[in-house]
Amino acid sequence: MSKIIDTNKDYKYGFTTDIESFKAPKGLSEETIKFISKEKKEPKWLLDWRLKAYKRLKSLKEPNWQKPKYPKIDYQNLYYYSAPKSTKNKPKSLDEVDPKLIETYKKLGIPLDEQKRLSGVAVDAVFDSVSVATTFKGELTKKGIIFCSISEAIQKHPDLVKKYLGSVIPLTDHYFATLNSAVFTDGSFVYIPPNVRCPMELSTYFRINASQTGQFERTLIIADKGSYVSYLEGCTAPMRDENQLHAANVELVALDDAEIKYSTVQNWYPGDEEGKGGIYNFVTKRGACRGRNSKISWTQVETGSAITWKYPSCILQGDNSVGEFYSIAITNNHQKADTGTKMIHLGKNTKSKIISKGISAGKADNTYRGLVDISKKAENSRNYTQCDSLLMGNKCGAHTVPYIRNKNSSSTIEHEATTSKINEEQLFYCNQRGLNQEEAVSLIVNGFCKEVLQQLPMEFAVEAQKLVSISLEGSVG
Amino acid sequence: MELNFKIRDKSDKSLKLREENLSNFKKKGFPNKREEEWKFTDLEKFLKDNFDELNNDELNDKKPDFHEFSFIHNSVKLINGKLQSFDFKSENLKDKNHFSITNLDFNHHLNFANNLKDNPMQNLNTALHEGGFNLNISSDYKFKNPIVIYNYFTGTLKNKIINNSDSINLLKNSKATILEYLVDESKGNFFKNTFKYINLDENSHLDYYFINKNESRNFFYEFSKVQLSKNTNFKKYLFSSGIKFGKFESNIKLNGTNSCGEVYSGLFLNNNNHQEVKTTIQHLKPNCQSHQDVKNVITSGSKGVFQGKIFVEEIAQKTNAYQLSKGLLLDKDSEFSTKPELEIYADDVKCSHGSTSGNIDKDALFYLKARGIDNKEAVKMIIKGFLETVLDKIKNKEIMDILLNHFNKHIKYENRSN
Repeated sequence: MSKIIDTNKDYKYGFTTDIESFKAPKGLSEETIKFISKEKKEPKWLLDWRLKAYKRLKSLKEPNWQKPKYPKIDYQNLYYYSAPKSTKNKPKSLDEVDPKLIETYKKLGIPLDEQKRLSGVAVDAVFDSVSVATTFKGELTKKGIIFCSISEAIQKHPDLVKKYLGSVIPLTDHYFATLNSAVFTDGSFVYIPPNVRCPMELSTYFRINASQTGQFERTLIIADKGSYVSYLEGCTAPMRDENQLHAANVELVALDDAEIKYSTVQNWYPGDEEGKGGIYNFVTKRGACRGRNSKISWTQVETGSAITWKYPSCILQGDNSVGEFYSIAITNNHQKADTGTKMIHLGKNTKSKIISKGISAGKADNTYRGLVDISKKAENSRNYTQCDSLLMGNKCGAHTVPYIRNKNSSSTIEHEATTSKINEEQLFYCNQRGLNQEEAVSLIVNGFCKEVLQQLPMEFAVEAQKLVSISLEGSVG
Repeated sequence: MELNFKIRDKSDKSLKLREENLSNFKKKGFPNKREEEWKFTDLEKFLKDNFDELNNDELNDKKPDFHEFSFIHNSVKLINGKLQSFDFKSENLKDKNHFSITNLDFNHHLNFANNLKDNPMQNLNTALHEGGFNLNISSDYKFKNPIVIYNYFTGTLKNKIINNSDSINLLKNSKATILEYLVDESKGNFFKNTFKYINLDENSHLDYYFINKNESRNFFYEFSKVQLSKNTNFKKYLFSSGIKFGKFESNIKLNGTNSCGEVYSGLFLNNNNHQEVKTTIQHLKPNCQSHQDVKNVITSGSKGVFQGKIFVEEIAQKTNAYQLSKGLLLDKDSEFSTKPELEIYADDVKCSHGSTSGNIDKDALFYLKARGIDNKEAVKMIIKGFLETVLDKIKNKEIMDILLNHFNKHIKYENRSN
């Protein structure tokens, strides 16, 4: 009943930039790690930390419990460090940045230049592994906010990095997180001092350019007491036949009364309609609500990647802390997504809310997998979970795998999930009013996702809304 | 924990198969929490903590006094899992060909057991299999009265493991209501590992109830494999209360169009009980329905578990599947864990699940107290209300009476956390 139109030829970010790259020797080894560390002029403690992670990695096995299976990754055939050559001598202002790079960002529509200042977005763009240019630094510095690449933070704020790095995702975590700890190259670092409300939305744009490289960024965000920050992350990657690995770690720490809002629009290359190529997006994102009354909110729109495994989680340690997770995952053609969240309630009166919307079309598989765990001491805690799935066509799958544990009788958990197709009456209603099939589907799907889209900051919401429509073009007939 | 398992059946053909299964079991051992299916129920640990030894030595079956129900029914009597006697006089039949009941021998057991080869509990069951009952209902026969299976445990069963399998086969257009009534009067702890194979041919209808008479310190694992053909209806009602350890698995295959599988369960757990209800409902043909409603009342350090999966095959369009699991936690040390799962490959379907857990709603309690009802009575009313949706599904009046009687005995807890 459904005709599938190739949506990937519309992948408008599928260009490659021809810039000479400076790469580490191929393969995963102690030498590679030492090379990365040396190249980034890292202190000894960090190198030791990396090597410790690598040592542990050797004893670990890749996880295999996830629903989507993938062909074996040859870790020895990857480049773990790739920097555009021209940045070897770091540019001091935007003018010094390679024009080709700027061109790339323009194509992506990233607001890197000064005019974009009006939109209030400060961007720390990560091109492959080295942070190229960071904008709006001045204004942020005035408030005492640190927003820079993690490499820079390691040089300039080693105490903060040392204190928090690996405190949420320890070295002893699962395979891909540990791999990241060993070979992470760059990423963003944010520190918001006490009682500061970050005046603008902070944003990074990740882009995988060189072929056969894995992208291993590490992001660390610390919101000190009483502070607030909203952070945006967007991802794109060029079209390539081979699969590329992306294993990032994101750590958030919220202290007393602090709030972190983390929004992601992920639009990595999903592979072609035959399922060839595309990004393996195996990301570990975890936030710790350490302080009382702290709050962490994850919002994600996942439309890209061949395989997505991603479970942004909240550890609700502080009393009265709040965790939220809003997600839209759209899979088309041969894409596979296995995503969800973990809400671990440890403190008293902790609250969490999960809203997950999954849409599958083509031959795709979409899984929500989540955990809500209320421990014995988490009195009067509360969780509400809602997972809705929409199926388009009879070749795709939608799955829900929630784990729910309540060990405290004063706490309440509510969970509901539904799976259905687009309501034909709604379609008919739209058609009758002159909308064609695609417009109607787009309208209904946007309505289905509304609860999540609402959570995104303005600029992102518009982009995400378009992305939702583009991703599903032609999948209903 | 010492395992003293002996194969007593020495006939050539069986010996080899039994030995093979036993060695398969020994390779894997009892399942533990590292296995996804047993994530919330660590059988290995439970057995280790409660048994020094497990053996399958012969049982001295003592014939107990059967206290039969007074309503008109057919009876089947099992002692320690083995078929003892049966009585179908109430059907008033001249022609005896409408049904048959026999002991399920090993060869017959093998007809079913083969497809579950990689399951260690199945391996163990096959290796040490000691019979069970085999009920066949001929086509077009509809039972007038319910069949009560008195499942008695008696004598000293210390450190015993009992492995049985039962088969129930309904041919075309037949109908039956079965009540399995567990009476445990044994001494010493035992572990029972049971496999049930239920098959419903076209247009047949089976209601299967499970109720236990008294509290039991024993360990029960039961796996039911249910096959449904076109236009069939299978309902399973599970009302077990006060069993120390129980894991009741049902795998229901909706293998014909317009078939319907239903699972209703109301469980009481107290005194450190651990009970798991696990369901897998496979929608393999179009236009099938399934409905599940599982209610757990949990108190005194007990742990309730529900794992339910709805699977919908690509061709199973127009599926309607619903699943609800609720845990009422009455005091501090109680726990409720669930994993309600959907795996769906067809688009024109209506599938949903809901799961909640928590204590008694304070507002509801306040409402009742404000109207002059004391705390104890109010809690009782709320618990009854909680179970109402499950009790409403019971069609048989006599069984309903038995159950209400039991519940009145069981609902005696006060809400300690208030």
